[in-house]
Amino acid sequence: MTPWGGRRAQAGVLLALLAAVGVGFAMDSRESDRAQLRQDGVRTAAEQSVADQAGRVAAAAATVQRALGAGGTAAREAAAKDRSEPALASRLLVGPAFRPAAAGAGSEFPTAALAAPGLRAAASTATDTGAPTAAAVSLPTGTIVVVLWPLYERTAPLNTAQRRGDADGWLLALVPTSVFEAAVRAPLAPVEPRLRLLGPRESGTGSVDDVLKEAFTVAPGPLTVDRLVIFGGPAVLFVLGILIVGLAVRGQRGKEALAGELAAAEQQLTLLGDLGATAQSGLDVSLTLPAVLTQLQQGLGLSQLVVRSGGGEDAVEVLVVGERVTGGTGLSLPLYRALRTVGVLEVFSRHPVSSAQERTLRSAADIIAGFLHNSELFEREQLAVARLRNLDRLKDDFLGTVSHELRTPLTIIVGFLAMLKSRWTKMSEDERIAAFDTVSNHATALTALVNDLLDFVTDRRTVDQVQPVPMVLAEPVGDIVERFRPLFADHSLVVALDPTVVASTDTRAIERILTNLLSNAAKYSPAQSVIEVGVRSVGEGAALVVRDHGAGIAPEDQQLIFERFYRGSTDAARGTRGTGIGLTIVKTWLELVGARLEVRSAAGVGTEMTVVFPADVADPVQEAGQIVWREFSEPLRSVGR
Amino acid sequence: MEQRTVRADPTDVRVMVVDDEHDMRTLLRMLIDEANHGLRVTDEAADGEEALDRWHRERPTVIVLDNRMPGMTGLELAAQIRQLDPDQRIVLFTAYADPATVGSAAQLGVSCLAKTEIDKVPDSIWAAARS
Repeated sequence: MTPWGGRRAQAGVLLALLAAVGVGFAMDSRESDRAQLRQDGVRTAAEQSVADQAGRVAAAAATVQRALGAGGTAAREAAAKDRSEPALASRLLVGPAFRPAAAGAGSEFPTAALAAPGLRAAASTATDTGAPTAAAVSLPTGTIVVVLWPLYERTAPLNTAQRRGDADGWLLALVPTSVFEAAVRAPLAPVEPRLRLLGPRESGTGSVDDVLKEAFTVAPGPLTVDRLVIFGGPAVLFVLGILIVGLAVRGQRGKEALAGELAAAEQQLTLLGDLGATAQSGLDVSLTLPAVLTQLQQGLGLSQLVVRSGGGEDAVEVLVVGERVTGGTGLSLPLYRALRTVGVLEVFSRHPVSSAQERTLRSAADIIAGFLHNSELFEREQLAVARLRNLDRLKDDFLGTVSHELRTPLTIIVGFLAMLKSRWTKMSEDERIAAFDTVSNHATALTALVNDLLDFVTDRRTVDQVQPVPMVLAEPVGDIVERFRPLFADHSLVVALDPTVVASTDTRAIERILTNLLSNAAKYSPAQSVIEVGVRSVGEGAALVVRDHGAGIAPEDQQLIFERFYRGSTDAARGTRGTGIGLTIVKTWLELVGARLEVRSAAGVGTEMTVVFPADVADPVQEAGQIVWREFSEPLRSVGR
Repeated sequence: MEQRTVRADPTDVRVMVVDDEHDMRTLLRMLIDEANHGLRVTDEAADGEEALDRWHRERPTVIVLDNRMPGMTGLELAAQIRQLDPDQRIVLFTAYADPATVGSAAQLGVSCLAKTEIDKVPDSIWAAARS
């Protein structure tokens, strides 16, 4: 043993120094510790209570004392001393070096408890590597961490084999699990326990004193003690005890602050969870969004929340919850959905918004964005469903009508021909001619209907384009009128065709347009009323006019009459025979020949449809292919003039 | 087309034809009279209103009506008449004998005949008259 002079004095000085160091570190390292702890997400530290730990360690100490025998007396004293100060959450218990029995029985621990497999493995690792090793041990009272320093007979062995051969024993230290984890082996720490022995070893017996003569660092803090002067016995305990206490106190303070922060974080997580649940509870913006915003406002104690939908200047205010107060802070959070900005959440608060609250608000903004998106999709889906249902109904109606419209003329044709055949000899010449006329008229009507249907189902754009040619408009118009006249026998058909008017158009187009306009005029005006057909010149080109004296087109129908299958909303319209595709076909042909359709209609007066064709292919009409609505600008005059 | 005059026999089954298409009424009249199995067309109507009007004035034994007409459909007319007289025999003459129409007709106690089977009209009328 090295002779020491003024041992007690030196001990005193060093103790004081170390005490200062320990306490100093305890104070200063709080901040970095908190950062570390938070980063590591250690909840265990925050959860375990101080009393819990103290009790566990005391029990562990007792066990170890019994195991280590007389050398534990000092430990007992220290334990008794510390028990009066409950704030000290841990203590270091270091017994004398434990050495295997000289008889070479092998390195066995004295008691079953300490002979835990983990501990034995740690002991072997310590010996083999020459580095302190930690192991968690389950004692009846709980889990505790045991740190083992290996002790060797001689100076640092050079390899594992030598170390094994030279192994003398271990120095044990007991540390409460939480403190150990928090201070030393945090889950995300980059390295394992950094209890290292630095500096040269003294040659000699390798006693505890010698071991602790070296400096050692304890991660993660810069707790370095350089060149300890070793005292024997109890002094060792105090030194190490203070160092570990410093750690513990630091850890404890960190724990308290962390506990506070974690409680706040948990509260905010709960709020976000609740917000998410509320946002999921419905798809109706007017019901669910206010609930979500109110929850958020109350959860964070904000004064006002505003949600705007849409981007930039087009943003529309969707909802405002709460009142704005003068002063305070405002925050504007964009609402993102699939990388697009779909709106903005404006937050107004009496108090400044902390960074944690801001994070919560961002998450809430995501929830709100998601909700707005879903609710918009739902609304669109409902509209689409309604439209499809409507279309379905119209289609069914259409099929029924088409069936009827095709079968009626066919039945009449077949029936009359059969009758002609069976009663030919009994019929007069006039009767026969009349019968043939009937057949012929219905054949014409059927042809027109079939043409309409084919027009309707053909995609005009892919079919050969129509080539307009110049023609005297009155000629094809006159032909068509005469051909279809019998079909409109219930009306009085008046014709006024200017023979000088030339149009650049197509005869097929004229037939399709005129037959459909005539058909509508007949359907929607009373029997015996007049239908006028005229051809005249207008500024831009040639006009074909069809006018009826029926009920006119109801205002609510105006936008719809050119839709497929639509036949009108009034009762009179409902009962008429018609497929509803006529005006759709007219529109298609307008586009193909570059003509414009003007519609004039008034209740009680009638309807006038004017088709304006270009006179010359080089001179297109304005609004070609369009349907435009005009007022009756002048008193009704004869159509043909 | 002039009507062939048919000898009126009080035991004849009187038929009213309702259809908005004039030539169809003519055809039905000719078919029924031609068959001359004791069937006689006594009345014609072009729509439901006219049909009701005539029906009130003189009850036919059997009514043959088209389903698709302006204003009231054939089924609607049949329902109205049935309410006023549950025993009135009615034949629905329809272009499209879809299950819905046939079903509704059956519920009203009205028999159906497709336009493609127009030659069976007299038989249909007899069947209705005897039921």
